[in-house]
Amino acid sequence: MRNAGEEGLGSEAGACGGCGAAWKPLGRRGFLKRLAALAAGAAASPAISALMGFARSASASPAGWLEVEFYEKLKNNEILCHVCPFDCHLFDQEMCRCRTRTNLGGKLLTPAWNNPCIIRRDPIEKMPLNHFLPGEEQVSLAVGGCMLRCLYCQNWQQSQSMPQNLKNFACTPEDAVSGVLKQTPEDGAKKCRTIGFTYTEPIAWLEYAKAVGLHAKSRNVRVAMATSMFFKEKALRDACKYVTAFAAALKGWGELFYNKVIGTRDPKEERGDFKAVLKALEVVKEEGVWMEITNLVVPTYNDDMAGVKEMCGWIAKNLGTSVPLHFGRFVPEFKLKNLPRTPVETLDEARKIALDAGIKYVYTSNIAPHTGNNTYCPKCGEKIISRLGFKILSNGLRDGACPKCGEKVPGVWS
Amino acid sequence: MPEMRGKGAGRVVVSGEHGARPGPCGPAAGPVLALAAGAAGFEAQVLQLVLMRELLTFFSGLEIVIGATLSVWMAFTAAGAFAAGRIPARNPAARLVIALSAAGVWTAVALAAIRVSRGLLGIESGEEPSLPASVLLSMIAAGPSAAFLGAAFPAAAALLSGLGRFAPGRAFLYEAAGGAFAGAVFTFVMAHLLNPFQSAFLASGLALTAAAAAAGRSFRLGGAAAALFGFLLAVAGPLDRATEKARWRDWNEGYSMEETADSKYGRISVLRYRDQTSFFESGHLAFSIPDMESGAELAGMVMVQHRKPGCVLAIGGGISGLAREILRFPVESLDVVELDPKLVELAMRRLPAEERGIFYKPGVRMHYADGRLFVKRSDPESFDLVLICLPDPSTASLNRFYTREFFEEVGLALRPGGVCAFTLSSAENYLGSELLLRNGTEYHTFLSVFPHVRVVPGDPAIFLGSRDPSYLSLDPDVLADRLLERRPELAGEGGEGRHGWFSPHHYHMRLGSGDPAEVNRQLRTWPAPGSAGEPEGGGPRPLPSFLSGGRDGKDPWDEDVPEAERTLNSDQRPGASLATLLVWARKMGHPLLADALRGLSSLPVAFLALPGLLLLVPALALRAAGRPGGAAGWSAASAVFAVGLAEMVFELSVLYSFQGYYGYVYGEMGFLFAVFMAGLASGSWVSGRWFAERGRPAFVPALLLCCIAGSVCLPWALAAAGSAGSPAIVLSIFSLLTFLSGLPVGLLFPHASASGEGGLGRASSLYAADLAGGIAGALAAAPLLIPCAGLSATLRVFVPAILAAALIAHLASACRTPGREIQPPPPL
Ligand code: SF4
Ligand code: SF4
Repeated sequence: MRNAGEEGLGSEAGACGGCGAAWKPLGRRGFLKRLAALAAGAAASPAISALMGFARSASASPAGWLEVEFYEKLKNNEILCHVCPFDCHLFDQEMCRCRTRTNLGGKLLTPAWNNPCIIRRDPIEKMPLNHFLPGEEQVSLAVGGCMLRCLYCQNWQQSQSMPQNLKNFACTPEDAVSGVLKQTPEDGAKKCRTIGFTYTEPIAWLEYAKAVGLHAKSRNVRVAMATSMFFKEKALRDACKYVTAFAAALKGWGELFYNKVIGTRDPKEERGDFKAVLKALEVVKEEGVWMEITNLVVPTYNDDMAGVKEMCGWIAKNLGTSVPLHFGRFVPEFKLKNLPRTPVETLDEARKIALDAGIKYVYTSNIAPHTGNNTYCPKCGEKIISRLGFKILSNGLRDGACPKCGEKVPGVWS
Repeated sequence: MPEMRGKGAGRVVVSGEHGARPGPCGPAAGPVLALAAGAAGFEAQVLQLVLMRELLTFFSGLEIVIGATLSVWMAFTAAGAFAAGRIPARNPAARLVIALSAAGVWTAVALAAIRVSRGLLGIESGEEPSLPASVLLSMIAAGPSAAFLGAAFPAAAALLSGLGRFAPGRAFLYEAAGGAFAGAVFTFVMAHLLNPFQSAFLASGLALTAAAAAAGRSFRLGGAAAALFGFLLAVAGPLDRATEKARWRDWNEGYSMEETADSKYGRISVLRYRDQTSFFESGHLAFSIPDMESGAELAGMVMVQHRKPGCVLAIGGGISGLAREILRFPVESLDVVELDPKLVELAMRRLPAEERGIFYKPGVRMHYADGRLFVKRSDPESFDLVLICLPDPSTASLNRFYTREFFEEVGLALRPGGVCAFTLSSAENYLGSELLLRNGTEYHTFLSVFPHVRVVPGDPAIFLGSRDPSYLSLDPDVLADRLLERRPELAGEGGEGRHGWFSPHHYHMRLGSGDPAEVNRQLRTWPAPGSAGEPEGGGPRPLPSFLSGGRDGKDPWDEDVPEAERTLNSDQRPGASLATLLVWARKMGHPLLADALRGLSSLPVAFLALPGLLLLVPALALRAAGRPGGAAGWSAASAVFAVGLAEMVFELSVLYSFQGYYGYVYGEMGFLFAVFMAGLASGSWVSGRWFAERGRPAFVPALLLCCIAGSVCLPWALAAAGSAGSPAIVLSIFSLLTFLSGLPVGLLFPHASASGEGGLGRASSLYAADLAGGIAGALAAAPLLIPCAGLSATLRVFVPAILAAALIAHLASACRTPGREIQPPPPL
């Protein structure tokens, strides 16, 4: 059996090197190709783009690519990926929806390895996580790619690209973790002892996330993960071994919203499922890992208050009333540039419904100032942590409890 | 009544005495026939304008989409004319009536279809349509109207067939004159008083009445059609309201439409959702109220970048909260410039009384003007702070606010130590190649005028520029102190929003996380290889210094700008609009389009010879095959194509420059188009007169030469026009240049159509060739060549095609069938 991943592509690259061809100024052939590209480009549909994306990936060098963990080998070099609920069935040389996994000769390989496109310091509250080391910072990492297609994705430049097409850092798990350990507070600088996977979907680069996460755990560095929760159970249970806190998105309520706005239904394969997200949330609860839920309220798409009520009821019943819930304000982004921001009234109403459903810690994010930025004691109503957006203005928490009535506030406080 | 019998005879054959066969109302008089042909031009122009405006609303659009739509329109018109010219017509008047009626009815259907099509095309509420969806809709909606109107041309020519071989030229003349008239009437009357359905029905009804008067036997048919359009005119109001509602139901499902209004800048729609009112202009979300944060954050970031901002100018954004927030600071005067008074009026009606009141405070002045023109006319050293809050440079008219020339004008209007600020969409975390290209270009354009530049990262990014080296800052603590100094009431503000939305803490929120210095470094070093600003595709980026526990030694703004090849954004070469197009292509998932645009922008100049070669090859083949008739036909078509291309490039170049010098051109577009059509009509008229006297073999080569001379002289003429002090003189000179742009095709078409065999079929082919040249010009010049190569280079793009046409004309004349006499036409 010919191993296309190693020989086919390698030999293709070798051929180029062998003939000694160098880039030349554009010739007639090049011009005709560009003209053809223009014609095709004008009519380019996402399908063509995806196809071309595949062609590109297939011709890229697999040097430094890593084998994916959760997949199954089938006959004829086909494979079945079990990282996310799309359960991609990939033929030889085929690239998946998440743009980070390609079947090369019956092996599922990923180029998303040691190549984050974002490394920066952020407040932890930005994830959003309000009950996790408040006031501290984290080193945020992101690698290109995502298997979803949220119409409002703020990070579309990275999430909707293949990692190898981005401008990346060369950063091994050791670099990342030792980098966090070097963030010593000096002159009032904030503590930083967490690595956060955010800005794209870590499930798309789970192998790198896992390597960083395990290394972080071994050096006593915390790991926070902002994710869509579009996880398969096995991969998620594995992630729970190294993740300290999840900022878990429950992006809306119902199949229709997920299919229309998030792109959880693969149009070709009829796979992908909103219920998988609910299942994933239950798994995290079962595993006992700290989790806060985020719900971006997109006007007219998922702001029907009956749906919000149902969602809150489900959270209270299945995840408990102590799990913090963040309602995020939508701002016109990516493909929804012509949809106005979420009216404040909508956020207020959603927050009220959640509180009425018994959820104790309900926040509003992407809008500051707002009462929903703060943490209140569910028992006595005391404002325990005062925030402006993700900036802490004052923190009255005493040993993880309300300073007034002593009510314990759940979270990771140290 | 004139009647055309097939094309078998190779030319227009007229039955009856000079085509004037008595109808029920007696013989159709010459002026009536002329009026009918002119009415066809009138209807075509109005329908095109209403459909283009409607499509513009649908696309909420970029130049390439507008260019593509215009091209689709011309392509279908050409196809309609070409096909109709080949179908024998026994009754051209009836055909004219049918074509005009069909165009009118289809346009109404298309208007309604465009409004409800988002759902059908699978475009979600609030989503921007993709390029394929846009082109598809243009084809389905506007294509048939264009094709019917194209088919009206041979019918009008046949109606004038009493003029023999001169009929197509005359039809061209009358049609152009009708178009010129329509451009003016639409701009100054119809766009203000009528909704799109009313405009379409009125134009169709008028055209049909004229056609009916000319129709003789078809009088009843035409009369009935005119009556139908009269009826439709009566129901146009409810139809407009119903379809507009349906549009917004689809567009922003769940929103209720409060009001729509037409201004000379586009259609404004006011939508309500819960406690929020949103304003859309031409389908583009302009702003929503209440909006406590956008204006507050911008004002908060910018007002502390000047030592004492006494006199402030805000271009755009004033009505949606920026003015309110600026006035929270101690300022002496605030000038707010808004383009569209209608939009302001609609928003004012919905603002709380208190907020409305700020515009009547002493020192606050609202100006309804083009921002660029306002700055140009301002006295030197009038302002401490100029704040530009406009959409991205996605079109040529918006790009004018991001060019070096504009920044220089702002520089003149600023007092010593003055600050200029503008916003640009960006990303908080990662700048891909396209965004880096656009924002990097802008950074360096800004830097070329203001030597001290800082960028507040985020979306939108805020660009700050000054000539004062010591005051701009991105340090949150410094900015917070300055804010408290100027607004002491904010001391002790704990995020309760007691004194407005903004507080000193917001500086920490916006500038305290991430790495603002790194973003500034990226933009400053772009696109130097090996630097932080190297685009995607180079080697890996160096790890951020904080990761090794260190800090960068120098701030990026204190570092030297590394050497790299950079093209600044200028009026003559609006590169930022092409870069915005690339950002859009990546966002919409058209990587191939982005690659192709990038590839085209780096094509060697030699490839501009391609259109010339494409014309030359068939000419040589026809000559080699010994087909003089075909060669002559191809020669005429080549000349018309090349001149059509030149004409479109001239027109777009003049419009481009005019915008830069004079101001926002949308409102004057109809007027300029009328002037252009007047040039076309005049050329056509002169050609008819001139040609009537005697045949001139040197005519075509001379005309082609004039086009080449025009390409050399026009850049100077445009620059000279721009330097004229008074706007009235600028407008007059540009009107003259627009008029001259229309002349060449006007001069050539009647000559070309009258000087060969082939009759109406040939005339239709020439008409199609003219439009094909126009399509090539429209597609190449506006979205691609002007941004990539600049205005002067664009003006030379058609030269190879012109030279090829001249060569082909020479070759064709060498093998022309001898003995053909050119007869003078009957008097006009
Ligand atoms: S989309 Fe999901 S299932 Fe498919 S390859 Fe990517 S991670 Fe695996
Ligand atoms: S899941 Fe996150 S990264 Fe992926 S498309 Fe949606 S918003 Fe973007």
